[in-house]
Amino acid sequence: MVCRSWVLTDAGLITAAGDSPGEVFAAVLAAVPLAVRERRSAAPVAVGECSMPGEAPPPAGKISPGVPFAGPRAASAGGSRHPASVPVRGFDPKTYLARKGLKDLSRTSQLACAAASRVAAGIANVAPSRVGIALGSAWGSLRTVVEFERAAWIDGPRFVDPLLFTETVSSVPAGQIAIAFGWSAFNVTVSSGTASGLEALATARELLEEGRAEIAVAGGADELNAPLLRALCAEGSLSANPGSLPLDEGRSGPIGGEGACLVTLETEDGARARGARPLARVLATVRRYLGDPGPRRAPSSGAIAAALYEVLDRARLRPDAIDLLVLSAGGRAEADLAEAGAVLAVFGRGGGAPPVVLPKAILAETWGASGPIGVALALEAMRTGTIPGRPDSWRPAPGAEGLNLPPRALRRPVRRALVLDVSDRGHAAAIALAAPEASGGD
Amino acid sequence: MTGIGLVTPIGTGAQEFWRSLVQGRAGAGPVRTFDATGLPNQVGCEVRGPDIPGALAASVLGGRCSELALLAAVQAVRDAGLEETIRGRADCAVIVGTTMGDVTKFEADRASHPERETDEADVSSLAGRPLDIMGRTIARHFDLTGTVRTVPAACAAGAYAIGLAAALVARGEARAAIAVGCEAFSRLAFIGFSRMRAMSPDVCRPFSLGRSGLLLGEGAGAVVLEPWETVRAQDRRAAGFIDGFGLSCDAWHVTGPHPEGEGAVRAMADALARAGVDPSSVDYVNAHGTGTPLNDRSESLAIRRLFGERGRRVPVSSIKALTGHMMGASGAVEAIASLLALERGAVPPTWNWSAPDPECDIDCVPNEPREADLRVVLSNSYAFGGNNASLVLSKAAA
Repeated sequence: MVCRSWVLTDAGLITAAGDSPGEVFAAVLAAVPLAVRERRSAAPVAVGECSMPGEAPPPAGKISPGVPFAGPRAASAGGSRHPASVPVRGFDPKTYLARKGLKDLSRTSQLACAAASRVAAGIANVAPSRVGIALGSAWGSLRTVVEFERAAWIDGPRFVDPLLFTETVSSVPAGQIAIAFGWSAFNVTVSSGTASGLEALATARELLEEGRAEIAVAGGADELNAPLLRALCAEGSLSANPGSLPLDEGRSGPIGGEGACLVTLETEDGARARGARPLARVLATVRRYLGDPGPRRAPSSGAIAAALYEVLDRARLRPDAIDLLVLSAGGRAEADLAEAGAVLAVFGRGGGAPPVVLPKAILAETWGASGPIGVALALEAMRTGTIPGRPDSWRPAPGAEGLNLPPRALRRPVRRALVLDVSDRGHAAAIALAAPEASGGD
Repeated sequence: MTGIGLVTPIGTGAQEFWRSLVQGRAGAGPVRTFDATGLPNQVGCEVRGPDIPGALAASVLGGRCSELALLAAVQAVRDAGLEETIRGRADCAVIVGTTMGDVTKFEADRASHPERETDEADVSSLAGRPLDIMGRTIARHFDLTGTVRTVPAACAAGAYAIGLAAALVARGEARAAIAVGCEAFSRLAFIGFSRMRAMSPDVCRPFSLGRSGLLLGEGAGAVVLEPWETVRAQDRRAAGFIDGFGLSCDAWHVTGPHPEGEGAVRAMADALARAGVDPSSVDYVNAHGTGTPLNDRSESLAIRRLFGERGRRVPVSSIKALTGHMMGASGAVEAIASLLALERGAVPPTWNWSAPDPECDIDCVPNEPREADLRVVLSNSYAFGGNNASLVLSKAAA
């Protein structure tokens, strides 16, 4: 295999904090959870609702209205029917795409296409037939599956909109990106829970190494929707408290969010030849299955630590060469502690360990988008030489005391960063990045 | 490929499956998985048995799709002779392709509600994340901690799973991989294809004049992939080889194929180039061949474009006339059918063919198996979103 240097040259995203990496980074620097702002400014989402705030209700006759979600377990989001959540308010795909039929696309497809539009201009000088797509999604088309089923039962199978059926297929969001931009070298969708987005990056890198494209547009997307909230509330795995922070002593569960983030990945030589500025080099990617977590629903710290050692080994870096760690802790008590335990075991404790950022403390759980958003934040940290601080109210949970979460933003060079995503169902993916001028991985 | 596993509407295991292919035993019948009364279509290709054995049932995290995937994977592991040694391996990957994932449990839960609205009874099957539950089931059964990947590449997913698994093994990132394509018979997909007017009311007739669409099916196909060097050093047998895996995207229409077969040509050419095989060396093309007017016309055109004048003569067939369209399972099951064709020296025919269609000007081996010394076979799979995949397979060394 030819040994090449892989670089990231752009990042496009759609999140509740904004649609540019700079805006999202600023929100993380502000260290105020978006869920707290959301709760202050808008009516909470009721789990029985069929549509989310900020979007139009389903057309009459197309999808039947939902009934209120009732039953004893309905109140399991911290004792409330209103889980804290962070939708992308006011999202309108027409802002990003001049294309007919956008309203017929699932929200995941819309978010993914809009994120793709944010990187499209930067690769306009590459033949579309040489651009591939790898998209990760934890939930795929869950919402349209539920809507289609509902419509088939209530309205009757002869009256279901066939367009809705196409959007029940989880590879369609990636296909919609291809149709919108003509990128046709390859088109792959992967699903590994919250690790899906980083897994897509790893997949894209492999396919590029096989010479299947010049550039990959890779990342993840997932939407927030009522069926998902219902499902997770019934499972008791969402918090009703907008101030619930990962690895905080008072955490009460994750907060549901949504978004899409795609990056462009290519060879360093290719980027320079077409006049694109590398933002970071990809030193290594790793994905692992950590084993069936069983009823605890938390992989072991040891297995996560092994994944961290593997990505460091592949990147040819020692733990102390890492300047920034972006973790996936999102509010699940045991899974987050397993991740923290692994980080402490590999990188050590206290101020001598690399600073840690917990994006989900601010942006909520964005599922398949979360890993690529972590990558976009790491790129901004490299560009600005700034490491975000933790929210003021954060107090470490027992077992997380040794993590180096800076009390306030730090100004220091970030030459190498590691982004980790651990899914509660046992998947893990990690990526090691280096600033263009930094060493490592050679 | 050192092991294969099959659970299909026309048979479980290679022997029964192949016998059905050459004898023309179709898996079609009145739908039994759910009550199809009042639905516009009534015929489907469902797997009749086997029930999941108790020893396997404890590993199943999801519903029927997980069961089918696990049954096929266990067969393939046994066929590879790895059942005693695979347990607990960290160097064995699991790659699963699917279209809908494990949605049938959710469908059944929904159907059991008197008011048939979303309610708390069905949400647990959603929270279990139906998309990647099959891979986790297989890993759980064999206690594997290598990479577990799910590729929901719709109706090309089975081919994606095999191609990506082969690449993983070729790169040395796994010493073995279990690649599975799987799909359970889903009311959602049944109604969806029916509403798209893509389904035949009675019989699937690929490449035939008057073809009226696909029949929906279900099933699972699994292969075990290992490096040839390892297999040879252990004096074990290979069932056949994956020589090339081609990918492309139409970037054209979300459900319809490119009218000129553009993406299909690129996927086939890519697979052949990666295999180092000239189109003139291809002995048989196992087609996607859904039996819809658009797919078969577009695929025929693509084959004609790739093979040139030989495009009218190279044997092409579709097994979907018998199996129905098994969606995420199709690519894997059809790759295995291609492997069996190589092994047994015969092209499985396109059954139910009645008359030539000028828009499908190919040799579709109608209604009669054809003996042939096959060395290289191309297997095509196409999907919603314009996803195209082609696999080049070759014969095991004698």
